[in-house]
Amino acid sequence: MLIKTKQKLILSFSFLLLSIIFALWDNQSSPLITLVISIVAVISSITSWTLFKQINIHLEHTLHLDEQSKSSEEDGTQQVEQYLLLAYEIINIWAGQTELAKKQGDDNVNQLANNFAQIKEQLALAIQTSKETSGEMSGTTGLTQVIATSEQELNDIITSLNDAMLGRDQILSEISKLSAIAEELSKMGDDVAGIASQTNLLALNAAIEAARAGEAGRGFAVVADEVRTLSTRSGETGARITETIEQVNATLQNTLEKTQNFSEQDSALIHNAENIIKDVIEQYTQSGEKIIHGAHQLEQENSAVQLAIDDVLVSLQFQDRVSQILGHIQDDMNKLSPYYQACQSSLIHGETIKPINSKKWLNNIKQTYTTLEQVARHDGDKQAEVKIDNNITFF
Amino acid sequence: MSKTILIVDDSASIRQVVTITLKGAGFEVIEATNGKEGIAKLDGTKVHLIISDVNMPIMGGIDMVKEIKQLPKYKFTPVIMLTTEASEEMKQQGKAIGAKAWMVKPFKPEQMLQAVNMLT
Repeated sequence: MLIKTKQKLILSFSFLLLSIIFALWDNQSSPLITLVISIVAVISSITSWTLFKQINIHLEHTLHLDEQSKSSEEDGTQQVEQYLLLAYEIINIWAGQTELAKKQGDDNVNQLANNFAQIKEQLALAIQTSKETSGEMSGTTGLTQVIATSEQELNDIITSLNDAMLGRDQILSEISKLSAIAEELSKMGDDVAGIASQTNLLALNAAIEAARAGEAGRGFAVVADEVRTLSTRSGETGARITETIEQVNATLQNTLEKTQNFSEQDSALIHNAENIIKDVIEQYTQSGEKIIHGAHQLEQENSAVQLAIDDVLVSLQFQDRVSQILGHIQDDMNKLSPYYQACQSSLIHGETIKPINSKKWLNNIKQTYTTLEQVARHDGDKQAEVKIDNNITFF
Repeated sequence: MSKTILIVDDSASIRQVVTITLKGAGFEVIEATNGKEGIAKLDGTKVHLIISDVNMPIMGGIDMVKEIKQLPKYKFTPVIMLTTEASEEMKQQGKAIGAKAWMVKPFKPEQMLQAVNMLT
């Protein structure tokens, strides 16, 4: 359009020039021709001016558009620089934050692992103590056996006491027999006294007969008198024997009664002791069984807690995996950050940005992964999980 | 007399888990945080088994085992590689340097004890 306008301007301007040249060169023409030439010159002038104005407007417009375009390009470059600057700064910040998270995770999980390790150690000691306690209680030297042995020994003591009681009953029986013998002796004493009385009477008759015999019976009277004396002494001895035997008998009866009373009391005491021992042994047995049951239960619960802690120790090991994954991210950020810095610098200095092979970059980072789930996630598998079974290979 | 095991890992939590598992079973444990420290900790000590991570700063487990296998005293000391590396290529690398087993973290304490008892 601009070219056509320029052609029209040239044509119009040519007419104007021709009109002026013709007017200056030919002074002899008719007034009509001069008028026509003048009209052509005026029209050409107006047309030229109009076309010139149009071209001028168009040029101004074009110039304005160029300036706008140049400004827009400068703005775009600045924006790209800002994006690169942001990428550089934000990657550094992300790397710093990742390192912070990694350090905090490491420190705290390490502390947690340390605490659980101590708990596990203390628990192992508790289990050992519990096993020893329950073993001591239930073994051949355990509480149950001690109680059983004690019961046996106490029963042996009761048996010994009963045997002693039986021996005493036998002695009592013998004492009872002695009492009967004493009664017999008492009767014999009475008999002696009776015989002495009869002898005395006989001696008295002998003395009477001796007196009647006169001188011839004098010697016999002396004998009769001696017999009477012996008879009297025998009677007195018989009486003392009877008296003494009655005293012995009374003492025996007294002893027998007291001993029988003691025997009854002892029997009651032994019976009572038997019951007490039985109750005490029963209580000890029940307490022992409770203690043994408690110790076994404690042992089982401790073992269950230990298994749970083993699971916790497995979970704590994931800190190592998390730390490695964060480490890989951090390393890649640190590697990418200088690249953006270089791009930004190139743009500022108007240099060409160094090209990057994104496929190679991604492949390189994939090579740094150590876990299978990292590789799977890199390839877009979001379901990848860590397997902890059959994770050992022997060579 | 209890047997001694060297555990080499840069992760404190892994070292603690391994240590408590082994000490609970009656083993003595020596800890190191990287391959170089692991070699230094040996220092002529009688060690019945070495458990080592693969990726560690300063010196990794593969390089450490290579060096240890050059030492006459520890040439036949069994080694378990304990790592998050699960690729078959890495396992074969472990086999090539003379490791007896390749265990992938996380491990169950009873699995660790079975392997240790088998190799000591």
